[in-house]
Amino acid sequence: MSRKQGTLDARSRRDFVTGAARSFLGLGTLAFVPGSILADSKSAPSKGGTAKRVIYLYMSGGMTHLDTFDTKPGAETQGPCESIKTSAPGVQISEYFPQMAKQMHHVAVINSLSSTQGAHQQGRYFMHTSYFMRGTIKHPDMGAWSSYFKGKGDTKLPGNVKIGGNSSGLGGGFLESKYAALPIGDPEAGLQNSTLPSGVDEDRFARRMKRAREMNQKFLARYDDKQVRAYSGMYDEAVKVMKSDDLKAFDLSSEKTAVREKYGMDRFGQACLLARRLVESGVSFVEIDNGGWDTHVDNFGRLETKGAVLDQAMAALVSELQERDMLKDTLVVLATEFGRTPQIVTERQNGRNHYPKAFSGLLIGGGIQGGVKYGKTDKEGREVEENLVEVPDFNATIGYALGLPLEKDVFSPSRRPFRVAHKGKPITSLFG
Amino acid sequence: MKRILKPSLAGGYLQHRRILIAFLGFVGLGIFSGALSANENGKGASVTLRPISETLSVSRKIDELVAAGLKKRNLQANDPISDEVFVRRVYLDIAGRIPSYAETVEFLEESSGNKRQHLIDQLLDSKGFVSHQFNYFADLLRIKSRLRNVPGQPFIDFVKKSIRENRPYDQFVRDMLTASGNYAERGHGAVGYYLRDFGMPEDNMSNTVRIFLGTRLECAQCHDHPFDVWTQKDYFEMVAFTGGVMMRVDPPFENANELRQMQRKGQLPEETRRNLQRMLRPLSYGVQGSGTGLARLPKDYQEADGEPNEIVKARTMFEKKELVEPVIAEVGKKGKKRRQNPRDRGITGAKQVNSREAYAEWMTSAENPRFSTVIANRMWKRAMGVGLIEPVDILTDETVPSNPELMNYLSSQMVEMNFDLKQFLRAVYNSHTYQRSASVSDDEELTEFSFRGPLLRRLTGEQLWDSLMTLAVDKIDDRSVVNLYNRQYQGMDIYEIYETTKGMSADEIVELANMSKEEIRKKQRSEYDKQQAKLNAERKQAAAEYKSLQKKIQKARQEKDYATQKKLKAQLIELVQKNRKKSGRNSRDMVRASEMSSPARPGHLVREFGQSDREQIENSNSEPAVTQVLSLMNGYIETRIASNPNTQLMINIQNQPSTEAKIDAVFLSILNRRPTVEERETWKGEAAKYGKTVAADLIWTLVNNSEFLFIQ
Repeated sequence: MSRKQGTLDARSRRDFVTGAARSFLGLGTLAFVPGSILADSKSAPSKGGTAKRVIYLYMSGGMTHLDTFDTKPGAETQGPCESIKTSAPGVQISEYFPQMAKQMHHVAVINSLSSTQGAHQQGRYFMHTSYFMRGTIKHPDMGAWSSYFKGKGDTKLPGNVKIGGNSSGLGGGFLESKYAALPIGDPEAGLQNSTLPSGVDEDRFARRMKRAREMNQKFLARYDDKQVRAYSGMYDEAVKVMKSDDLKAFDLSSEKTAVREKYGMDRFGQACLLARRLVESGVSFVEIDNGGWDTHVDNFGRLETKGAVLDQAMAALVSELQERDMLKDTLVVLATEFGRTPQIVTERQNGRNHYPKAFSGLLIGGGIQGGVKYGKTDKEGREVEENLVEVPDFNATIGYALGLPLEKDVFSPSRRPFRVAHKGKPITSLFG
Repeated sequence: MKRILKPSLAGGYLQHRRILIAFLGFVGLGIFSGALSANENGKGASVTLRPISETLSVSRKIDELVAAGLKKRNLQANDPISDEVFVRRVYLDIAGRIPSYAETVEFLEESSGNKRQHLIDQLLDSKGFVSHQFNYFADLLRIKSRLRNVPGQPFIDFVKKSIRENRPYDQFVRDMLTASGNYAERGHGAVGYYLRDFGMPEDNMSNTVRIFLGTRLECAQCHDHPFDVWTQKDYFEMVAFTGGVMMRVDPPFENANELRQMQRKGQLPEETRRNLQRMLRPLSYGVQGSGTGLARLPKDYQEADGEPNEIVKARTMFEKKELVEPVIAEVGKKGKKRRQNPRDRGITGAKQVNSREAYAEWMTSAENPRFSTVIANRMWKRAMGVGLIEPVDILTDETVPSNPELMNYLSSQMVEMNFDLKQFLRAVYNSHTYQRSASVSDDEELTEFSFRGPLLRRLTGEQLWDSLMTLAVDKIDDRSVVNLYNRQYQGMDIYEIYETTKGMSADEIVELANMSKEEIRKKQRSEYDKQQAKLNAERKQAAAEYKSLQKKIQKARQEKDYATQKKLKAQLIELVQKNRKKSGRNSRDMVRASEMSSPARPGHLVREFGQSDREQIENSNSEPAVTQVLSLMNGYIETRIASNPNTQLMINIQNQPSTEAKIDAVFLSILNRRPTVEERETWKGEAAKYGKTVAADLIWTLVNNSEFLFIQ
């Protein structure tokens, strides 16, 4: 049935599968038609926020909450980190973020995030997918869900892009690979190999593609495999990208030096600038991986460098989006897998260990009310005291902002039902 | 020597032979040229394999158990594979790359009945095996070229050496768990296993348990495990085995304090101070302490079975056995007053009682079933693409393998073979099961895979790169490149700086640090110039030879003496190859993935195709991405291989007498098979129509193809 790869997308394939299951197993229609009106009618239609796109900044390694956006002035657990006032009355953040302090009126700080996953890989997986890591299935991340439900609009660029060196995967999960992210390792190098090599004109290229397709068909006939099919699809995608007028979005050198420097001439800063350029060109989900937050040793020393890089880039991003009037429909998210222990480990040059029980994230723009703090931890940053936000709730809020159908069941190829944000409840009160 | 070194601040000239020796060491390698050296480390392991009949009896038993599993499920085994499929698969699986044109043809044309057996043995004994196996362990152990405070080189060297010498796996693991000494001293690279998790002894323990026992303890780091039996206390009792281990050691000279003071007082110029710091930092990392067998529960411990800060004794997680008797010595008044030493992790007076040794013995014992099961399953997966237990590292008491009898058998064979991975793999590769055509993942859940044949797999990033390199250059396994990053300590690598500073006085060390970057570079450059001059002379001579050969060829052509012409052409090609290798131009990165930095830089083709970032255990992936396809279509192959007449692939083509033979050569080089009649006709037609450029088109087509990307 799937020999004609590239003609059946995930949904039609799945419909076919479920259709087949129905007729073979005599199952009722109600149980199985995902994406049908029936499935929709069960759920309250989610109105959602005004976000058309997301820039998702992921602090890999576990960003300390106490020394960033959940400061506890005077508490013993705070250590040497000072708090500073911000443009939002009543919202204080740590001294490592002087630039962001001027942008906090756009920001909703979530201080009551809580996870049960205290190891990096599991924590990262949970934060990205809302599901626990399992041996039997891979779940899509928010970028893939967004791409699956929203398509990619009118751009020929991919709808979902990941920037950074993390190799844990492209987040497509059980969805077809075309919903997974396009990976950009080095933002300054941009999208490499996107033009035909010299000496190869369109005709010659078309000839080559024809021959390659013929051979591929034969291989597929022998090995009808999801991954083999996916690669065939990738060629179509790649040709589209090559023909796109939007490719220049990947070229940072066309920005003025002053603009580039505003973001910081480091990998993360330039990645944020690239993200801004990509969303301007119609890409709807960009994730940036910013590693190095695993501050077991010398937390405060490391924070000085890590904080400065994050502060500069994120503040530049928010202010530029605001200047372009794009903040109203662009959601900027700051997320991480867990916080860090309130207890300071003195024998490791004042380090902090993993702490999933309470941590912080940021939501900016995309219909989110700025200048607020949501949720609260106790006076030492140990326990969530108010408005607990579990990881699926956080993701549901992102999904809500984008208007994704949170209550729609989507079936994996093994016919198990899954949802964006795994039945998390969006924090609707954040939306103005 | 006086020319190299400038007067020291302390006055006088440094006259230290060791420095000279070290210098001669590094300049000789010509670090600016990126010159290639024969890969000394790359000698394939020479190991006595046991009699083939013994291996084959294991292979047959494997087939029997797989057949029984298939019968239970009413399934048929896949068909046996052809020699063409076999040669490609077995090279990729054992040596980590496709076979070269010559290797392919040699195997296909050999008529011996045992040729598959012979090839398996040859490959298990090759440098390619070491390279490929290293990539696997680098992913598993998260080996990086830059660890936090030290370079990765010694750890990398240790792992490669262990593979090369076919160190039994249990000993290899014990080497790491019991490692001690100064990391910078030659032969102490195993210490890198602890330094990889510097400052994170708890994480190190959960990594150890996950990697070697396939069991997840990391959740129990913060609370009792939600889905398994482990309590947080179990976890800390395991951590206690590495209790009291210190990761800082004394540097190889005695005046560290003096130096520190000199640095602090600001009496040294800024550059010297910085050089000194960079140079000395890696010299005081290592492992000391045989283990106290004690650990403290966290300060915020909340489970009912212990108190915060309580001292717990080491106990094994499965049997709850105390393998050592910890001792806490009475601490006199003086000791109490003394500031608590942060390095003994808060347990004053705890004695080192060899708890690491005891735990390493326990971990790797044949009596510990998870140890042998995990490695047997991992090696099975390595050959077959799927484990008998999936995932390979979330074992619980409820885990049931897809074929329990086979898993038991493999696990017992692993013990029987004394954890000799090479012997083990040899039995698997010689099985009929391995030599059957591939199954696809769509047909069966991986957790219930029945092994009608191996799984169809995409090449890993490393396999893909190494295969492209096989197309680009001759004898790829022999090539290595001097890694610049390793030589960051006043132009020396970590071993050399250790040996050079060993026993030096503070003044001498300062003297060494005094040498500026420019001076080091100048010195290196003058060596480099000498090398270049020599190379240029050789090149000149080669050019003359080339000219004369061409003349002779022309003459032979005019005289229609085809035999001579062919012979001369071969000589010409040999000449070109020989000199291309010497020039080293464009070849800095033309080495196997295992010889590049670990991991490769983001954006490198190896990374694009999913090489692990080495941040998490087994973090590589084989997910498809548009960037990969763009790279195959418009990148390396087109610009560096198909358009360069000196690449191995193009030489293979040039060597052929007819269009037909040229087409065959491209197929044999890239897909390791001959074209079908239809394919040959198609490309003959294209060649007639479009002429010479068709070679590049054919190459492009074969590379941009699932048949190239997958191991069938």
